[in-house]
Amino acid sequence: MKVDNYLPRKAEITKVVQETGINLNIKTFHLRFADEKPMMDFKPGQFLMLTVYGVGEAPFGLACAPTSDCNEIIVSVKKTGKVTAALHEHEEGDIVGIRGPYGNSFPVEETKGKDVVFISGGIGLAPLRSLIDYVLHPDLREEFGRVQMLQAFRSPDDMLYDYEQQRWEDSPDTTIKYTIDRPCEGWDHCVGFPHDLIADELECQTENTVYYTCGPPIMIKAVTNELVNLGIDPEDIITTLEMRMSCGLGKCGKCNIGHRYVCKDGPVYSYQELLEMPDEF
Amino acid sequence: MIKKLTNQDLKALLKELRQEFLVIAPFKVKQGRLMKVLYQPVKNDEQLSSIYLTDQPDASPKEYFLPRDDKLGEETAGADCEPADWQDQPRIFLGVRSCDIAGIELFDDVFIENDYIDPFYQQRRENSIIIGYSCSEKADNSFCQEVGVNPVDNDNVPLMLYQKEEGFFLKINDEDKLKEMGILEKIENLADGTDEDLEALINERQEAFKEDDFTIKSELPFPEKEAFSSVNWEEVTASCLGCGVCTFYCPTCFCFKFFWEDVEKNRAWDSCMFSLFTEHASGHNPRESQEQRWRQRLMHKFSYHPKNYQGEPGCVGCGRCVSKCPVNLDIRKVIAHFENSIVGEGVKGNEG
Repeated sequence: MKVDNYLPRKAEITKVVQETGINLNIKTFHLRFADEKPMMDFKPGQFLMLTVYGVGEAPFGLACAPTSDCNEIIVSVKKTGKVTAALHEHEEGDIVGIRGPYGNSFPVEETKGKDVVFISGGIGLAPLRSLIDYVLHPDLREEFGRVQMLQAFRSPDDMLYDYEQQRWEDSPDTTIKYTIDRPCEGWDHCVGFPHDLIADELECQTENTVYYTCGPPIMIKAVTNELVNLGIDPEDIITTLEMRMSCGLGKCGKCNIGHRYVCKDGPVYSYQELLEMPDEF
Repeated sequence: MIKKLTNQDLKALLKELRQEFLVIAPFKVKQGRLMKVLYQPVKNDEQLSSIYLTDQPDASPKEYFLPRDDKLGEETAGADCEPADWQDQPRIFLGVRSCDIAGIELFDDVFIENDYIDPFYQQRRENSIIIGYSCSEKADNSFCQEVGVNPVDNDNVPLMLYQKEEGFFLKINDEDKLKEMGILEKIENLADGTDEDLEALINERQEAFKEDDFTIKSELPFPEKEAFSSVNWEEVTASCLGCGVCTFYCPTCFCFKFFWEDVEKNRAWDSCMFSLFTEHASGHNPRESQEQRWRQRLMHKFSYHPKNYQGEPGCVGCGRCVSKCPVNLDIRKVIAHFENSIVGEGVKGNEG
C-alpha cells in the first residue's frame, strides 16, 4: 500500500536549455533530487507533478529515459499558464518540488523485437523522448527493430532537442524525417503537416511495428486517421493525453474521460482504447 | 446487544464520553437569517441538552473527514513530513443517519484503497467512532432506498441509536471496536432492551418509508456511451447556474484542488460544476458547457463510481442537492430524463 501526502521532494535545477526561438518559450529543465535518497524509479511515458514553490503545481511528461546511466530528470515546458511562467523564471541552482512518477507507461515490453515509428508534433516530442532515448540507448538498441521518426514543427525556430538529433540519427538502423508547416529559406527537409507525409516519407508496415504519436489533439487525430487508412491496427497506435490534474492519483476528479482517470489509467492509450472512450478530451 | 436509555441516560453517557472523546453532534444554529442543523463539537456539558436529532442535518459531517480547507503542510518540508494540523483526540459522531454513513463508507473506498492511502483522511477516519441514528420519517426530497440505503436500520456502525416516544434504544453492532476504544464499559451497565421491541419499532418505521413515487429503473452502472450519444443534457439542466451548491452539500462529493499560501500547501473542496475545474492552461476545456458538467456529476455518481467500485452507487439519496439548489434543479428528474432517453436505444443499463 502506498501512502502519499501530496508533498513533493526537493530537486535542484542543474541545467536550463532554451529550446526554441526565445519568443516561442519552450525550455528544457534538467533536475536532480536534492536529498540523498535514491533517484525515483520510472517508466517511459509516465509523468510527474512539478511544484514551483509558493506558486503551484502541474503535471509534466518525463522527457528522459530510465536507462542504467540515468541520474537526472528532464522535462520540457512550454510557457503557458501561471506555474509554467514561474518555472521559466527559474535558473540553474534553483529548487523546485517533484512528486511521482504517476500514470501508466508506454508498452515497452510489447514493443521489444518490433519496429518502432515515432510521429511527433511540436512539444509532443517531449514525452516521446522518454521512449526514444530508451529504444536508442546503446545497451538496449538491439532489443528493438528499425526506428523511424517523423518530427513536425511549425518552423525551424520551433525545433526541439537539436543537440540530440545527430546522436539519434547516428543510431543503427534509424532514420529521422523533419517537417515544418511552410517552406522556409535554407530548409532542405520536408514541408507540410505530418499526416500528409506519412505515406510518402515513412515505410509503414502493418505487421510487427508499433506507432507512437504525440502532439496537439488535432494533429493526433489526423495522424491516427491516416495510419488507420494505411491499414495499421488501432491497437498498434499509441498516444499519450494531457489533462488538468491536481493529485495525479485518481482522486481529485479533474482528469476523467468517462469512468477512466487519465492520471491513473492513462496518460498512455492505444488508439483502439481511444475509440472506445467518449469524446471528452 | 440492545440497551434501553432514557433521555437522562443518554445525556449522562455523553457526559462521560466527553471526558475522553470530542463529541460532535447536530445542533440547530443560526446561519445568517436561517436556522440550520449542523454538526458541531460539544463544547460543554450544558450543550448536551441542545443536541438536535429531530431533522436531517443540513450538511453531512463530511467536512470533519475531508475538511473544506485542509492544511497539508509546508510543501518544502518534503514527502516524509507529518500532517501539519492534527489533533489526536478521538472523536465520537452522534446521530449520523444512514445516508451520511454511506457517504463516509464511500470516502473509505476512495481514500483508503489497496493501491493508495490518503494519510490525512485515514488518520481522521481511524480516530472516529460513529453512533448512527435511525430516521423516523422521510427527509425532504430524499430517495435513499432507491440507492440501497436503509434509513431505519444500520449494522455498519459500532453503535446505532433509535429514538422512541420516550427515550432510546441503542444497538451494539461492534463490541470489539467499542471495547478497544474503552466505550463498552460505559454502556454495559445500562438497562437491557429486547430484540422484539427494537424489531417492532424498526418494522413500524419501515412501513412509513415504503411509499415513494420516484424509482431508478436502470441497473448500475448507467451505460457510458449512451450518456454521450443519446441524451440531450441541456434540455433538463439548462437552468443550472453552475454554483456548485449541490456538490458542496453532497455527502459523497470528494473532488478537490490544492491551493497555496506562500509555501503552505492546502487542500480545498472543488466542484465538477465549475468551468475552471477542467480548463487547461492553454484555454482548452474538455467540459466547456454547463450541461457537460451536469453529465459528469450524474454519470460520476451513477456510472463511473459504480463501474470503478464494484457496483456501489455514488449517491446516497439524501436529497440535499435537490433541497439546496437555488433553481430547483432536481436530480431525480435528470435521472428520469436519462432513462427515458436511453430506453429508445433499447439499452437497459450495465454495459459491463
